[in-house]
Formats: sequence, C-alpha cells, structure tokens
Amino acid sequence: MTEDDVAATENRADTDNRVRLLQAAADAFAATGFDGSSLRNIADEAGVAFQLIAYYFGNKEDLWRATIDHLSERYLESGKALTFTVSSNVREQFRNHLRFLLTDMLQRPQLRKIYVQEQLTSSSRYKEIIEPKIRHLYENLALPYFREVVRLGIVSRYAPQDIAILWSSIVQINVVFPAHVELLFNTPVGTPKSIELQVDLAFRILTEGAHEHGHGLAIARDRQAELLIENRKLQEIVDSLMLEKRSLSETLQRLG
Amino acid sequence: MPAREDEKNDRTSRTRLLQAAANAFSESGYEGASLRSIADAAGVSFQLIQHYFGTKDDLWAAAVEYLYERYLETGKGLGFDAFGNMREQFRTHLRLLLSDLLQRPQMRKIWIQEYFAGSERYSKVVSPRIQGLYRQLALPYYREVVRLEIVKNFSPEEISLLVASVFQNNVAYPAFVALCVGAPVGSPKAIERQVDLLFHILTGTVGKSSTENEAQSSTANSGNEQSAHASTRTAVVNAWRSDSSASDHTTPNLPKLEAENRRLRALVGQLTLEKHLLLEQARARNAALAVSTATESEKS
Repeated sequence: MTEDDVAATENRADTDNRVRLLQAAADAFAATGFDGSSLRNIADEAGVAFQLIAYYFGNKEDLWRATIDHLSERYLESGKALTFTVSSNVREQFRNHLRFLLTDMLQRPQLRKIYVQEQLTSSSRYKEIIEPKIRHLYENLALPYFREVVRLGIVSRYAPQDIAILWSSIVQINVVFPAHVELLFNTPVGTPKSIELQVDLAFRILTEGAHEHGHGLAIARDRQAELLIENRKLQEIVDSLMLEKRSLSETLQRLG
Repeated sequence: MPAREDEKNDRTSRTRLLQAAANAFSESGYEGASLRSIADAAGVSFQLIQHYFGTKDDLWAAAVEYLYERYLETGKGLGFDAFGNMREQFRTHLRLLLSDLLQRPQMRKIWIQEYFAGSERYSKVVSPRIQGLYRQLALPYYREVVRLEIVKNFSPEEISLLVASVFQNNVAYPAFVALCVGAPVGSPKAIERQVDLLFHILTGTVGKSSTENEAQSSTANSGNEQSAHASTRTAVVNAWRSDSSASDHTTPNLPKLEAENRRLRALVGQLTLEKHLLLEQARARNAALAVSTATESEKS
C-alpha cells in the first residue's frame, strides 16, 4: 500500500466510525433521553472504542449536537423533495407526499423522539437548539408546502396552518402513541395498510369540497394547478435569461 | 392527636407524594427520577415513600394508577343530555378533554417515556391501560357520537384517531402546534382554534362559539368581516379561518392564468432570441473571447 492508500483507508474508517457512532447515539438519545444515555453503551452499540467519542466529537453534549445535526440534515433533504410537477395529477402527487412523509417518519423516528424527550424534561437543549429547529421546519418547509397545496387548489376548505395542525398530529401520534393507532385499525403502525388508512383519511378530509361543484370545476382546478406550476417555471427561465442578457451586454460594452 | 387527624395527614402525604412522583416520572422518566427529589418536592420525609408504597417500582405503579383513575373519572362525566343541543355538548366535551389533558399531561408523558424506553413497564402496565382507556371510554363515547348523528361522515375509530392525534400533539410537539395556531399551547386561543378545527372537520360546520368569536373580532371593522361571517354560517366553509392566500382560489381564474402563460411563453421566446443576437455580436467581435464568456455566462 502506498501512503495515499493508507490515508484513504484511514479516512474511510474515520467516516465509518463517525457514522456508526452517530447512529448509535441517535437510537440511545431517542430511547432514553440525554441523561439516561451512557456514552459507554453508545460506543459498545457502535462497536467503536469508547475513547473515540471524545476524539471525534468531544463531550456528551457535543455528541448530542452532532447527532441532531446529522438527523436534521437528512430530514430536511427529504423534505425538499416535496414539490409539484406539471406532468401528472397534483391531487395524486399530494397523496403521494403524505404517504412519503408518514413512511419516512416511521422509518426514522429518532429525531422526533429526541425532540419529545427534551421537551418532556424541558431541558435548556430544548429551548436553545430544538425550538429554533422546529421553527425553521415550520417556517421554511411545512408552511410553504401547505401554502402551495392551498394555492394549487388541492385543499380548498382549510388554511395552510390548519393542514399543518391536522397532518403533524397524525404523524406524531404514530411516533408517540402507536398503541392507540394499532387498536383503531387493528394493524401494526408502519405497515402499508396502516399507512394507507391514515393517508386516505387525511386526504379525504383535506380535499373534501374540492370536487363538490362537479367534475367541470375539478378539471378547471387541475388545469389551474398546472398553469400555476408552469408559469412559475417560465418566470424562472425569464429571470435567468434576463441575467444572461445583462452579463452579455456588459461583456460587449467592455470589449467596446 | 385524634386518630381522624392522623388519617387525614396520611392521605395528604400520600397524595402529595403521588403528585410529586407523577411530575418527576413524567419529566425525567423512570430512570431519571430520584426518590429523594420526589420526597423533597412533596415536603415529606424520604422514609415515608417506602412506608406508603415500597420500592421505586411500586411508587411508579401507584402514580400511574392514580393518574389513570382520575382520568377515567373525567371521561365518565362526558354524557349527552337528550334535551340540550347535542352538537354544542360535543363541542364542550372536546374543549373539556383538551383543557384537562393540558392541565394534567403527566399520564400521557409517562406513557411516552415508557414507550420510548421500550421498558417492561410499558408492556405490562401502560399498554393494558391504553387499551382500557380506548375500549372503556373512547370507543363507547365516539359510538354514541355517531349514533346520535352528531358526526355523520366518520367512523368511531376515525373520530378517535383524529381527536387523539390533535390532542396528544399538544403534549408531545407543543412548539409546532403553537406556531400553527399563533398562540402558546394551553392558551384559550390555542384550545379554541383546535377544538374549532376538529369540530369543523367532524361535523362539517363551524360551531356556534366560533362564529361568536368571529362576530366579536369583526366588531372592530364590520363591513367585510360581517359578510365573511355570514358565509361561514351558511356552511360555505371555504373562508373558514383561511388566510388570504386560500380565499382567492375558490373559483379558478383560468383566463387570467392562460393569458399570463402566453405572455411568459412569448417573453421566453423573445429573450432567447435577444440572447442569441447578443451572442452572435460577441462572436463577431472576438470569437475566442466570446466563447469563453458565453460558457461563463451559461455557468452562472
């Protein structure tokens, strides 16, 4: 092995250890909270030497922060994928988004569980780190998304804030009170059947009234949604063309 | 000291210990709660915990039982009076349940703590109680709501999911709820808004007190808001608490959008042409330089 090879292997091992520690930390903090989690158990779970936690992250609080950042990044990324396209029925896209959001949360509930853990103990971490993150999530992801849903006419009876209340509540009960949901639908939380039943219920409530004036209006609404999306794309193209034109003109002027 | 006085002291110390235990377990979980702090918070000597309850496990079980009993009592008070307005009674029940949950969230918090920790206490103690609450209280109540035709479009199970979801979110995710309703969780505004929303979803109409609220808020500037108020009452609920972005989409304005679409398409065509003309000019002047600027400008 050359020196570069050695360095590359070390780098890979570093990244590997880091990620394994972050995942073990996420599970531990989600299950037993900050105070109830032991660094030694986290290292054992990750199969990494205990001393490496201090080396990679610092103290317990630093590891906790790194875990939150790690989980938030992945969460925000999947949230950004939720946009509407002209190509197909926007109502169906909305239903798919709801399904995706619930499925994603159930596959990776750790971040939400950590939020709840810190909120229950009313820690300073909650006030200083989590509350701003929740605000960011609400203002930059949830609210703009539900505004779009209303703007496109997919939901006509409820304000974006009301959609946010209803949908976040349904998602949340799956994370904190799955037993209740299981009793209702007689099927374990996270199964396709359970997810479908809840998505259908939310979809039915939210889109109610969008068809009530007959099929003609529904078609008009679909066309409207298409136009709104397309017009926005066109406006973006116009803006970028304007910029290109300006920079070309400037170049020409410089050339004299 | 007479025996009766002793008994009374016993009962208050027990109750104080149970309340302190409920607070401690709900905030810091089973492992995180310390018996000594519980005794201190209750203002009772540490040894009395053992005397009254036994081990930490026993105290925990007693606290859970205590909270559960009190909750069942509140729940059992929710009956319908055949002579009153059923829908208004339902609305009042919703308000009562949410206010009660927010005043005494300890039981739910302890349940969440144990579920997250995946403890044996969860499967042995909490899980049967969740079932009990659902089978003995929630389901019979929502069946009644459906039987009385207060709610027509949802099954008892669906009502239970919706109400439980919205309510528990106040306990588990209060910061998000506060942002949605624009008021701190537990404030009258936050409670009313969520009760309104649930009532509206479930019964398809806006409740009496919500229209009253709107009437109150519209006394300041009557004109517009009064007509909005009138339309809410006639169950044309499009304007239901919607913000301005929602209201202009009740009837799609297609001609305007189509026109905008044509204008934008034409503009894109024209700008593309102008861009190409500029590119050609640049090329004519200095081929090599133009190519590099063009690629540069395209990158940007």
